[in-house]
Parts: sequence; structure tokens; C-alpha cells
Amino acid sequence: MSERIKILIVDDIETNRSLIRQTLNALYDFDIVEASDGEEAVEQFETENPDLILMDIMMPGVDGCKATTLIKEKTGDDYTPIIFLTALNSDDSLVTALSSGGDDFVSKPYNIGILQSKINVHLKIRELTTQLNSKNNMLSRFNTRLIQEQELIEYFFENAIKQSFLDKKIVNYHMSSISVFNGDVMFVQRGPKGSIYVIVGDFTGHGLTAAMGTLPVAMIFFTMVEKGAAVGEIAREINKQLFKLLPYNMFLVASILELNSREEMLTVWTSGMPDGYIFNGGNQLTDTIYSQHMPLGIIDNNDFDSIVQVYHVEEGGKVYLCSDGVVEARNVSGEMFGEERYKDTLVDGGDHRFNKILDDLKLFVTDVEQSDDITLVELNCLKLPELPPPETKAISDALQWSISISLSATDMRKQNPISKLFDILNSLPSVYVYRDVLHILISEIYNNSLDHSILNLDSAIKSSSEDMSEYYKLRDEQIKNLENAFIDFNFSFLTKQDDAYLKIEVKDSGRGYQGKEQEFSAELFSGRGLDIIKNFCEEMSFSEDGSVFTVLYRL
Amino acid sequence: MGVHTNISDDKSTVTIFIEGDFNFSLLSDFKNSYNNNDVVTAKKIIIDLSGTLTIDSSALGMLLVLQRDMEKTGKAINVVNCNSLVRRIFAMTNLDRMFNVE
Repeated sequence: MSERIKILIVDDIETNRSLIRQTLNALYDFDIVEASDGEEAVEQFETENPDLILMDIMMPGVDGCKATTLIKEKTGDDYTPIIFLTALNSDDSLVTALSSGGDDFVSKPYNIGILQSKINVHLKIRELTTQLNSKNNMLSRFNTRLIQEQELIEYFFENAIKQSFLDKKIVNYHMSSISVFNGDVMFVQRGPKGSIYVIVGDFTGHGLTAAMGTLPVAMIFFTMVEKGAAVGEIAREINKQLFKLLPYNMFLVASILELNSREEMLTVWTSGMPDGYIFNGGNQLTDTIYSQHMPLGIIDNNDFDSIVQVYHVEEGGKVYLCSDGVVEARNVSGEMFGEERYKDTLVDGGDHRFNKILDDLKLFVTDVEQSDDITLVELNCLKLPELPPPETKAISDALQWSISISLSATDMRKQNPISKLFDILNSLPSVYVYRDVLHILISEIYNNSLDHSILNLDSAIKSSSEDMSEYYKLRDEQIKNLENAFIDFNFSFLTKQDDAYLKIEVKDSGRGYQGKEQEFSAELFSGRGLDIIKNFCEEMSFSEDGSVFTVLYRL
Repeated sequence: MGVHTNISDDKSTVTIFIEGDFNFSLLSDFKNSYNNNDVVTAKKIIIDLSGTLTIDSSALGMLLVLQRDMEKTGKAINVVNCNSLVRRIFAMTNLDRMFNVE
């Protein structure tokens, strides 16, 4: 209130008003405005906006009480104090007067000291009320903004995370978080070859700070599963990113699994989660999945261990996973639900064990407030119909391309000469899904070219372990002395009707392949490379002069 | 990445784990994993390929060499936990029976 304080004096008798005016001028440096009846008082209030009103009660027409009531109706949240100046001396009549909305009174004849104290107090209250209202408005605006931001974050999370494949025949789950944002993680998706990938995990803490971690995990999981990555690789990548992104005291305990129902095989990488359980089709517990590793986000990539465990899961069998919110839930007496009770309930529950756990948990906990996010997952091992390969629809639209890569003697001397070649091929989407097979094919072709065509090494040497080491030592020496050698690869992507192929042509600086299509028996330590190539490829051929070797691989 | 070995408590079984790509770059590590006293006393050798991504002909060669050496002392070799690609490679080179691939 940087403006001057303004007082409104209301009294029908001019000399009274004059007396008060002079008194106030002697005490304060305020602006004074006046009104001579109740009606004028209300008008003055509206036009002059006084900070305080001194109101006479007994006035003709609209009296002080009526005027007070009218004025108070207009003040709303603001505090404009009205002090009655009254000759009334009975308590009852004073109470009645004050009930019209007045805030205080001073009896005539006035004691100046008392008048001054009351004016000071009420002006102070007015100031405090103004500050309070201003702060409330600020908070209210802030809160609205916060709610809008929260809605935006929720929207963002929904889009990033809700890509899970949640067919009830395959995945049954229950998730309940203790706040809007869930610090537990559960994603499910089918891989390109039809297996089901699942990740169930739990970030340290809960609420938004924990949920922040779920975003990078979602992105990595869905991207890698789409490409058919191995469970260990997914674990490694998540660890790498979380190690980079999260503060030192935040981490993710998680189980990452791939269920291949066709091969009845479950591959698991797990750390820090309660034990998982595998049941067969006859409702018997066949395996327990124990945590093997350190949580994700703590260990540097070089020390990271991506070793997985492999289990057999029958068709019709089931796998159960939960976050520690389940086993650590407490009842009224502070007792935990516990691993034992969880396992026993699963074992005794038969076909309906999933619902039984949830019911038992609810009963156990009764009214105790949930203190951690809870996640429970049941996976069914069912043979699903084969998914069409993701690229089929795009085949006829796909562009044909070809890439040539030439390896020189310098390249051949490098530690892992064809890894850069793989990097290039792996970046091509139509090829990435087949990278494991292509990795083997191209290694065999490269080694074949280098060892037999260029270096003329006799593979028969590789027949005992000492000789094998000798062979590779000799190979290394010869590579060191290579000059003017080359291996040229040409990769082309072709489509024929509805099929796509990768054609690989290899030409090298060596003696070439003259009539080398020989059958090799299992006893020799050579030639298996050619077997592998022949088996994977639709066609394999040599050019007329033996200098170019071509294979055709169906994608 | 690489070769890890695990010996059972009663020393009768040695398990060799191969992680990553199984090829001739692992030759010396692989040799060291079975050229030692623990293997001499064991009766059974298990090659666990659960962490193996790919396998090439040089790795098959290494396994054959191992098998020939172990045959001399009457030890059995089992290859376990192959992914489907690795298993296919054993099958197409007719080595699956030789190594009792599971």
C-alpha cells in the first residue's frame, strides 16, 4: 500500500466530524473523507476506497448499522475495518450493532489514546490480510500451473511407455503404485521371431523421481526387442545408460526375460528381485529364478556381467515375477507378507494362484496404507501363431541398394577387421534382424578368402591344439607381411516377387577358387566353413575364372 | 566377454562358459581353460553356451580339438544351452551328435 492511508468519517453532525478530523490530523498524516449519512457512506466507500471507516450509529435515514452491512457485503476477501463511534452504553445494543458487521467500537466521549490504538490495530490487520490474500493468489496460480505440468508429464509417460503387448492369454499382471507416478517397471513385447520379452523392475525410491528412470528403460527395451536383441545385450545397454544418467545412489533392480515357447526355453538376466518361480503345465513348481547380478545402473560397462540363466518351461507352464512391494508389504502388527508366504501361496494356489496372491495380500494388509509400489506378473508359455516377418508388407516398396566395401592389407592387420563392415551392415534395417547369421556367414567368407585364397594356408594343419596355435601364429606372421592384398565385398539388396535377398559377392587378390566345391568330412578341421555357407544360403557359386565367389541369402 | 570356468564342488565336473562371439580370438583362453590340473581329475566337461551369440568354423575346430584330447583320457564332453542359431550350426555341420548338443 504505497498510497496514503485514507480514513472515511461518517456522522450526521458536522461538528462531530470536524472534531474527529482535527484529532486525526494531529495524530496522523492521513487523507480524510467524510459522509453525512449512511447512503453517502456507501457511495464514498465505492468511490474513495478508504482503508478504515469511523461510523456513527445513530443517523437518520440509512443508519450506521445498515450502512455497515451494505459496505461489508461489498468488501469480499478484503478487510476494510469499520469502527463504530457510539453513544450507546448498553452491552446488548452494542452487540446488536456489532452484529451488523462492524469490527470494533469507541464510546463517546472518545479517549484519544484508545481511538488511536484501535485505528492502529485495525490498519495493521488490514495490511496483513492484504499480504495474505496476495500470497494465496500466487499459490493458487502456481498450483494450477503445477497441475498442468503434471498432466503433461503423465501424457508423455503414457506415450513412451504404453507400448506393451498385453494379450491376457499370455500376460496377466497387477500394478499398483503409491503415487501418480510408478517407480516399478513392467514392459512386455514380442520379438521379431515370436518370442515374448518381459522386463519387471523396481527403481530406488518412488514417485516422480523414481519414475523418471522408466523412460530411458522403456526406450531401450522396446527398441532392442524390436530388433530381436539377446537378453544379456539388453541388460548391458540398460546398465550403460542408467549408469550414465542416474545419480550415484539410484539404481534399478530388474529381471529381463525372453520366453521362447516354441523351444520351451526361458532366458533370464536378473538382479536384486525377489525369487521368480516356474511352474509346469501340471501346476508343479519346477524351478526357482534366483538373482545373479548387481542392480542396473551401478556398474561400469567394463565390469558388467551379462551372463544369463536358461530354464526349461513346458508348454502350458507359467512364470511368476513380483517386485519387492509384494513380499515386503506389512500388516497392522508390522509383520511382512514375506517370501515364504508368497511362495507357499503360489504353490497352493493351483490354477488361480495369481488371484489368490492378490486376495491374500489384500487380506493381510487390511487397512494399512500401501508403502511401496506393487507389481505382480504371470507369464503363460503358449505357442503363438507365427508373426509375419515385419518387413513383408514393405518388400515390394523397398529400394534396391548395393554397398561395396574393400579391405586392404592394412585392414587385414587390424584386430577385428570385419567389425567395421558389420557396423555398416547393421545400420541397414532390412539386414539388422539377421545380423547373427550374417555375422557368421561373412566371417566364414572372409576367413576363407584370407586363409585359402590369399595366404594359401593349408587347413589340414589345424588338426591338433598345438598345431592350431601354430597355424594361427603362422597366419598372423603372414598377414604382417602382406602387401597389395585386397578383399572386395559387394552387398546388394534385391527383391524377387515377394522375397528379399542379400547378395554377397567377394573378389580377392589371391589365387581364387578353381574347382573348390569339394565335400569335406567331419574329421577334417577345415571346410566346415563352406558347409555353413552352403547351408545358410539359397545359392552359392563361383565365377568362370574362379575369381569371384557369390552367395545369395534369403532375408 | 570371453571364457569363464566353473568347477563343481566334488571336482568331477568342469563347466566352461563362453560369452559373446565364439571364434579363434578365444583360442588361447579356451586352451588354458582345459589345459590344467582341474580338468585332469574331472570326469565330465560341460561347455555352456548360454552367453554365446555366434559360433564360427574356427570355434567348431577348437571344440573338435578339445574333444580329441579328452577322448584320450575317456572324458565326456557335453555342449549345453545353445541358442537356436548356434544349435543350427552344429546341426548343419553334423557335429551335434558328436558333442551331445542339448
